[in-house]
Amino acid sequence: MSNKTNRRVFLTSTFSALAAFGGLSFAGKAEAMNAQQASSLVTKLVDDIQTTVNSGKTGTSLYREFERIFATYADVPIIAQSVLGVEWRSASSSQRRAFTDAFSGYVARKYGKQFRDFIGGRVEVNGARPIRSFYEVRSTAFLKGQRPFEVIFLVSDRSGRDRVFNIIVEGVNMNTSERTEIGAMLDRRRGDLDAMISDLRSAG
Amino acid sequence: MNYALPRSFAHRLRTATFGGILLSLAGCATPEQPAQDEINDPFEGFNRSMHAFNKALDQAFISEAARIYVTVVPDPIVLGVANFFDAVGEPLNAVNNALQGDIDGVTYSTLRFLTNATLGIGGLFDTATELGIPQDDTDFGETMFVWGIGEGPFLEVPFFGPQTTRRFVGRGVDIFIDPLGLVLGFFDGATLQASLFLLDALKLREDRRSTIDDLLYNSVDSYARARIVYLQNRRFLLGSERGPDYFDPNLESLDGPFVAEEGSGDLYLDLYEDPYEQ
Repeated sequence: MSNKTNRRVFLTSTFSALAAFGGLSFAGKAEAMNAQQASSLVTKLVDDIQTTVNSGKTGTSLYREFERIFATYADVPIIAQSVLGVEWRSASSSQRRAFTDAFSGYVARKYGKQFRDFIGGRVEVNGARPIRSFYEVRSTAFLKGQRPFEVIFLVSDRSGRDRVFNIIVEGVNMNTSERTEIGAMLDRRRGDLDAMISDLRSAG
Repeated sequence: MNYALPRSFAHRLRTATFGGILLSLAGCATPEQPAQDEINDPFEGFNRSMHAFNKALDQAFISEAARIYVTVVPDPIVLGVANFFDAVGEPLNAVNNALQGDIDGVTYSTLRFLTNATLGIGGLFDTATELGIPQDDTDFGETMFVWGIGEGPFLEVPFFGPQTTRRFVGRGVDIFIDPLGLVLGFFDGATLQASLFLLDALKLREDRRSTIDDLLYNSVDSYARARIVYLQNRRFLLGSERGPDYFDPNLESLDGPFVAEEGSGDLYLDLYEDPYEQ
């Protein structure tokens, strides 16, 4: 079944890549995202992560790669906004920019440090379905010597491009658990957003 | 001596089943999940000290023991032990599936047990998964969830880590309703389960080393983080049983637009909180 899925996903992503290319050269305007495009974005994302994880890079150069991947496939501003929660509303626009920038580096370092768990593993994309205004892309992660587990990517085109805005690993929602962490960092600074942002630049 | 045990086991089973029927009759059999990030933690002070204890235990012993276990013991044996642990857990899965009224689940657990006991050479290989009968563990905590009992306050327990009260009580009940106790005798059955649990925990600690290290030692508040991660995962494991197409690997059934099911709407709305709408 997984091979069939892989083949289908491969065909789908090849097709949508061609379609996207055709769209660029002829229409010049992107149509609303569909399930295949959502799946294909995630397929490209997991391939990119896999290549990076197995590249042998470590430390700063690995984190730089992760930050590039995060910027390429994720809607970083909306994730940052969601993670900061109510504080976002009272933040100035320069604080918002500073937070988004610091958060992006933090995520890259934090998940970059965990890359060893994923060496030699693979993620198979199973399919996508629309939920309200976005798509849910389901996948299964196969890590060496471990039971397979479910990873869900939520994809939206509301930023103007197809982008991942949340990842749910066996029910554990990345935005929610990061909100807990960022909230704790803010508490430690007694609510001083600027101080928390400067902590965030070296955290992760 | 052993003869007394099956009888007491059967008695407990009957009592439990009877309790289940009563609860269903009482009309509270529709399982309700709290919102994904809802936290009920009245014992936070106590829990935080238990968290500190567990963390110290990890630092002093578990982390290193896990590394040694997985490094020293050859991979096929580590995997064989994990498979064996899963296999001896299947009879208990079958009992809990029965108590949940999940007949398919009973068939699954029984088939998995028989397949792995025979073709899987005494449970050392997970042949059932390869034949298309994947593992789907359950426990008495889930049984109580199906019966409509709430998850209760969050607890962090020495050695076992984060739990809901329902899961913690369920662990206790599981020891008494485990059919393994019928075969091996209560104490031997419980001892075997406990030893395998420990080895499985060491494997998990090593498998997810960088994730767990990040959670415990790279968090500003590792207690709060462990709590939200545990609760979300546990609610997912229980809630995912409900949506009939939620786990369906058949893609065609996923293609239709998403419709939240009655009674499960909160979970999905919350899980799929849309930041663009805020």
